[in-house]
Amino acid sequence: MIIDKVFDLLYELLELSKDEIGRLTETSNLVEYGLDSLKAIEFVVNLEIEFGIEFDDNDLLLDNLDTIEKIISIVEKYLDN
Amino acid sequence: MGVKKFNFIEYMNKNREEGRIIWIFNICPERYWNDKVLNVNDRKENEIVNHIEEMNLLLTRKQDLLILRDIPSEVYLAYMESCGFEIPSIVCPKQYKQDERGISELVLDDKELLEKIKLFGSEYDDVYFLPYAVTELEEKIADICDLNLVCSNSMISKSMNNKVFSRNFAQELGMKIPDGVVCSSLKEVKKVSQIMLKNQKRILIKYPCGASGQGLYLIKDEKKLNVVMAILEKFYAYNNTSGWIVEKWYDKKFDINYQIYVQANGNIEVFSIKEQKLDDVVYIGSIMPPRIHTELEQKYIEYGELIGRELYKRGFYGVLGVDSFITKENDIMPIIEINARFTLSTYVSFLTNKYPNKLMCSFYKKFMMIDNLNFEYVMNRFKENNLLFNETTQKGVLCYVESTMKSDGRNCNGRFFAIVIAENEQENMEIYSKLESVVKDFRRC
Repeated sequence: MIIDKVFDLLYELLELSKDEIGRLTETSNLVEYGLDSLKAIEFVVNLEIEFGIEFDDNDLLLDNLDTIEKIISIVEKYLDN
Repeated sequence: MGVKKFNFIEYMNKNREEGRIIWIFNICPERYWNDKVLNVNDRKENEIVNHIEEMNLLLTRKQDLLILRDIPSEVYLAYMESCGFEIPSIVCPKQYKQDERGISELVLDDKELLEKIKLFGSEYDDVYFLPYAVTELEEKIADICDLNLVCSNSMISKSMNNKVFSRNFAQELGMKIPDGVVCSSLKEVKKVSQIMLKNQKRILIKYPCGASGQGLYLIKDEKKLNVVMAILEKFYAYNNTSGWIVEKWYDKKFDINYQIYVQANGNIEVFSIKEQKLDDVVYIGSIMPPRIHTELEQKYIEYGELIGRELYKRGFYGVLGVDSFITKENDIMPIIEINARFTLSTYVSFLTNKYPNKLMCSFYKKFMMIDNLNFEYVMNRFKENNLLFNETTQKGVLCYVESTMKSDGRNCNGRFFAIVIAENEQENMEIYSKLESVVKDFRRC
């Protein structure tokens, strides 16, 4: 499942506490959980490795990655292509 | 008046009524000095970074001219004035909202503003142009407005704002530098990193032209190295760099920043030695005065004088900041990075003269703002909790940037810049812990 892998990658990247993991939903704003442009670079590369995809430069916006819902949608777009 | 007459330190301290300075806080000059680096663009963060320019008010004098993106609120200006800061004339470009471009680009696009600046420059014979950093854009402004730019040119600034330059320069001066290697290719970076990881708990990979943590990677194992190599291949492979640095990571006793002023006539002054607070590799604040003994402070003055002299020989003059550290084993690494420009800590450098015998900790906090946050709200919350600094109490929290705490009803991230001023470390910590609970009210849940 894409969603499970995305959650796993985020837990590791953002070093979330149990409490934060409990509160995190698909629509939570990940910036509130510590996602910033530096961490997003690492996250993009992790997604590329995990799913065998490659982000277009035009998609490299934090606005495209700031909720799990958006991340899943962008990963699905690349997998469909 | 010639550029050689200009003396930044005297103008900030004892001769504050002399000369007129035109200030511009052209943050992120790296984007104009170097090839564009591919990154994950964060527009909201860019907006915040563009607005931290208000901290320039910690240095301005009444007779100066400050170029800002936007006129600050009366509440904020009145507060800064009540704390003893001098409010200069402020001018702004017409087009600034939602515009991610740097302030100098906006100025160059505004003929009316250029005229105003030129007029200010021509009305007096002792006007000096002092940007945060010099790129070709500030040279162009100086040229169009016929201003005395009181720092060395953009080519020199660019060449010195480079981590490979800093490392080689420190080595040339015979200073101790971290164990490591300058690599000429990403292939070499990987090879050197793999070898170093066999003997080191952690290593650091540095892109030479990044700022604010960009291009700095702390690595503890092969798994992380593989991720970082994938990042470098994707985001940096097409950049022309002067080399990558792979260094041993040191556990530190102190991170130290010292500021140096190299006058156009070659006089050198080391003017502010601070203890830096870092979140691994990213600057988050300063402690003034630093908690180091006077002999060590004297050593830093000597390092600073040597660095200033040697940079002057290479054509540099102006303000620069040097990052340094002292290891747990008491080894001093006098130069980790040279920033041949202003740094964020330059702006808080003269507070020790303004408020002598105080212990000051500057810091910033990132947070998601509540919808109705503004400077007045922040002031009121601190007042209610007896935490707000003012000239009478001479202690408390001094908030010195307004625009990064203004939500305008939007759901966006903000940044809180402040300095805790107290009699001693204990009192400083007490104020800070009270402040933490107040700042929680600014956050969106």
